[in-house]
Amino acid sequence: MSIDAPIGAAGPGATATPRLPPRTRATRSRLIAYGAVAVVLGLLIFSWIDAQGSVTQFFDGLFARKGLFRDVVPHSLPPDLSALWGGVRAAVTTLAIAILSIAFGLIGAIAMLPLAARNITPSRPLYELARVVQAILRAIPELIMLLFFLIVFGFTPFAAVVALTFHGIGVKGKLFAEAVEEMEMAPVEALRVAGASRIQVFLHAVLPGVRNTLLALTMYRLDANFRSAVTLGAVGGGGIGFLIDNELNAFQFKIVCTYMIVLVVFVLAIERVSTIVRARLNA
Amino acid sequence: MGSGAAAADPPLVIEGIRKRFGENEVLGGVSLTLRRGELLAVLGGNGCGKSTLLRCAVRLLDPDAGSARLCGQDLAALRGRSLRMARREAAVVFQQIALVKQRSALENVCCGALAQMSLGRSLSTTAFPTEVRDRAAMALQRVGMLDKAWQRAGTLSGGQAQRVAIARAYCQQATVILADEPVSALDPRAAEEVMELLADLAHSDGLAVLAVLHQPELALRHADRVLGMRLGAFAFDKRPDEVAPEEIEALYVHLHEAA
Ligand SMILES: Nc1ncnc2c1ncn2[C@@H]1O[C@H](COP(=O)(O)OP(=O)(O)OP(=O)(O)O)[C@@H](O)[C@H]1O
Ligand SMILES: [Mg+2]
Repeated sequence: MSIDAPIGAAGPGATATPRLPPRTRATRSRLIAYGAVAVVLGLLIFSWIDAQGSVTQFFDGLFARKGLFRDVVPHSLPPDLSALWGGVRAAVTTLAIAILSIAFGLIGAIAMLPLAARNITPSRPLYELARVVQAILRAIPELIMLLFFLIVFGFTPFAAVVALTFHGIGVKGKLFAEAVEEMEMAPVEALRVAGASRIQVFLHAVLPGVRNTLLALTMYRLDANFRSAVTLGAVGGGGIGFLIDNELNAFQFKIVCTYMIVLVVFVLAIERVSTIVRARLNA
Repeated sequence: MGSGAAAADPPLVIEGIRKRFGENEVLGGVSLTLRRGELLAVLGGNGCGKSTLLRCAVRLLDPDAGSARLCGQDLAALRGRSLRMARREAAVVFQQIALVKQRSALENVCCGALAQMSLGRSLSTTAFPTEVRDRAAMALQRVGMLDKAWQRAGTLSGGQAQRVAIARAYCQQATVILADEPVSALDPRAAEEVMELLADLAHSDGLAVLAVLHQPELALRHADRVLGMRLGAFAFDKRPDEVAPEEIEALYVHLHEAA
């Protein structure tokens, strides 16, 4: 076939290169892309300065004679295994903090659910209120909450439980509400029409429908909660975080090393359990 | 109708219902009466307002004007508990399966009786009172699903699940069943069986059944009355043997084709 075949005579074999329509907004979107890169670069530079980033400090801190790898690490080895039992005992306390706060947080988040999910809430203002409360609970970091609770409860692991519970209600409350908002509404409407009350509909259609999702979300948060419990412990809530902080301050690196091993084993084990349970729930 | 004090109110009376979503007038003032012992099929193209009509009838949606009376009670006038008690006369069956998938067929059917249970007795989601379970078992037997009582609803086939949904309506002791495309997701055989069941509930149990259908042949074969709907209004309301094929075809002519 020749290029200048008459129009209309072109058969399937005629493959004149199709003319693309003009890219009208090409230059504009390229400008936007350059602008975005510039903004991100600017942000990074500002953050580096503001957070006092320092390359020399980084390498000195890690590799110099008094740095982590040439000073701290050698002094940490071998781990002092006489501290093993104490470490495990403290990690169990940390786990207890995590479990209690998860349980209370679960109850709190479920209790807010009838208000906090848009598709089942009895009134729009109550829905907004529930979501705002949750947003505030989420916005305050657990550690800051703990500082307040330490003032009122004193130095006890329970202060950490309360702090983690409230933060958890904020986090789980939102996740749960979103799970309910995504659920199939037909069973809910069918029971509504059947004359069931709001509480009955919630108990018999909503909760059974999302139960596994909620439990999976909770299990997913379990290791995060444990890690938070460790951190809160360091500030004064007790548990293994508290021990690590103490021994670090006393430069007992061999004991700290033992605690770190216990800590990592606990976190990995919890992660594993969480994965297994979630796989079961999804089945 | 209405021949004296003995004659009960018709199960469902819809009068002049209008509904618009923004600019879009979906129902333009429609009226209909559904009688006991009758299976009414509603036909109409996508978006003509069939589902909206059903939802207005049980106040899952509030109509802009007009009224829906269930067994003599105007739903718009009721609130809270009295609304729930009045609504109990109606049961809905949807195209997508409206069962709680994680629960057994029996539990789903038991839920039909929730309105008759006190809050205290309905708090446990694992144990329904014996008399409710007995009633649910009877309902399952009525739809031929007794042997599947303990199967999780999520594992039932479409046709089985739809029967269980109908059993829930039966357990609810509803007077009216409103079914929105109950057989659209079913194979021809299952669809036939579900339609037979709905017709039998109307004819043998004296229920008033309204079914939105997208299969004119099923409507003509099973229904006692066929209602044609187009653009938010009723085009015809006749016995199946009076409906002409052209009338049905006209329901599905798109606006741009009609111009
Ligand atoms: N909640 C809503 N908000 C806005 N518009 C809606 C809403 N519900 C329905 N509509 C509109 O109302 C019209 C009728 O919808 P409806 O669901 O009643 O149609 P239908 O006859 O049931 O159609 P189908 O056969 O597809 O189920 C459609 O144009 C739809 O877009
Ligand atoms: Mg519809």
